[in-house]
Amino acid sequence: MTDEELILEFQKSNDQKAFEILVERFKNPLINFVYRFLGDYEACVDVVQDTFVKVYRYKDSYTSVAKFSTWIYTIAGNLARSEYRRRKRNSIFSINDYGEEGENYDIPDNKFRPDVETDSKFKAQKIQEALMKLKEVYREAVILRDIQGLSYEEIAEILKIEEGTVKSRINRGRAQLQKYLKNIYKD
Amino acid sequence: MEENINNKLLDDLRNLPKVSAPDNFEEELWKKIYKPEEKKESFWQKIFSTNKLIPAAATAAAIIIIFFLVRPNSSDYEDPFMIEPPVREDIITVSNDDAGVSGMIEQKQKIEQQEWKSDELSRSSLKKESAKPGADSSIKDNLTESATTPETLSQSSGAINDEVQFDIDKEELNFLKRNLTDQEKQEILELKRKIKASDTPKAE
Repeated sequence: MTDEELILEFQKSNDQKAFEILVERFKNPLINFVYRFLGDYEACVDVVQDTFVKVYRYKDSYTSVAKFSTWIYTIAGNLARSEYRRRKRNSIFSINDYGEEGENYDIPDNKFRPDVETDSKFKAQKIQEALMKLKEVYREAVILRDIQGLSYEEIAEILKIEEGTVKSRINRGRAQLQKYLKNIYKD
Repeated sequence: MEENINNKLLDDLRNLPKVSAPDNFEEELWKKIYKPEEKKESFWQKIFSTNKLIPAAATAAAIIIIFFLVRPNSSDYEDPFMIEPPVREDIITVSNDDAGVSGMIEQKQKIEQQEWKSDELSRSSLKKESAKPGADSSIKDNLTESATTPETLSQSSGAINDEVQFDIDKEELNFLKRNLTDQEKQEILELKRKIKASDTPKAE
């Protein structure tokens, strides 16, 4: 069954099993997306759980016009953005003017960072740090495209912007990433 | 070159380690789903919530108390730098002020009255003597001419002042103390002798 069929089943008959399948399918991609965006594992788990809670409670607001994946990514993106801004406001410890864009940089929690355990942990760590330096709009677009592998069309639908804007944000995001990681990618 | 770097960066982004959900993800999710939905507080509820109202009220009360305690325009407030030093009457010396002058005047008036009384007595004794046979008639005339009341006496104070000696302390007159030379002292003594010499024929 497709995602759309499952959500329709859940809408019609309140089938818990259909919802569980959707959770199983989307929990890891969403965790990955939100983690790369927030840089904090605990916070990202909370955000993804809240996303599914919203899907469960407001299942009827989904219309079959859109893809289920874009709908759930939109919810997760909105919640992740709110959480990021809330954390930025309440952050006691923040490094001002760390990035060139004047963005605050929240130090990621290393305790649950899976990239620490991998062989390329240094590079992964540097990439994550560079991602956190990017502006929110560029970061979100780059993650959805280059890490999650979504199409420009899907990203445009999730972010509710034009495809051209998506492409320009992705290009700018990549260029900035490359600039921040010039020590790694100099050859 | 830049294209290669970009591709390498894109590859690395794509191959970043995947983050997976924790084991208890579903369990925690169902707990959240079955937990009653929290109602969002309105703006006014947020402002007037007890958590915020109590500290705000305490702060306001503290500000009011501090304002009334250290109010700069308060009438009760005495600036320690503006208080005049306490007056010690025991060390004050009256020199040439009103109190000293009035004291002198009072003393003068007393002396005048005493002198007038003594004159009265002397006049009455002279009358008695003139009443005796063989007394000089010129004395009578003098007495009648010089018979005066206290009022007339005060009018002719210039004449009396020549005769009356006032005991005026140096403290009351605020004299400038000066050390006299021997020559000046001798001159003063001579003047005193002359005054005494001029006084003795009058008394006679």
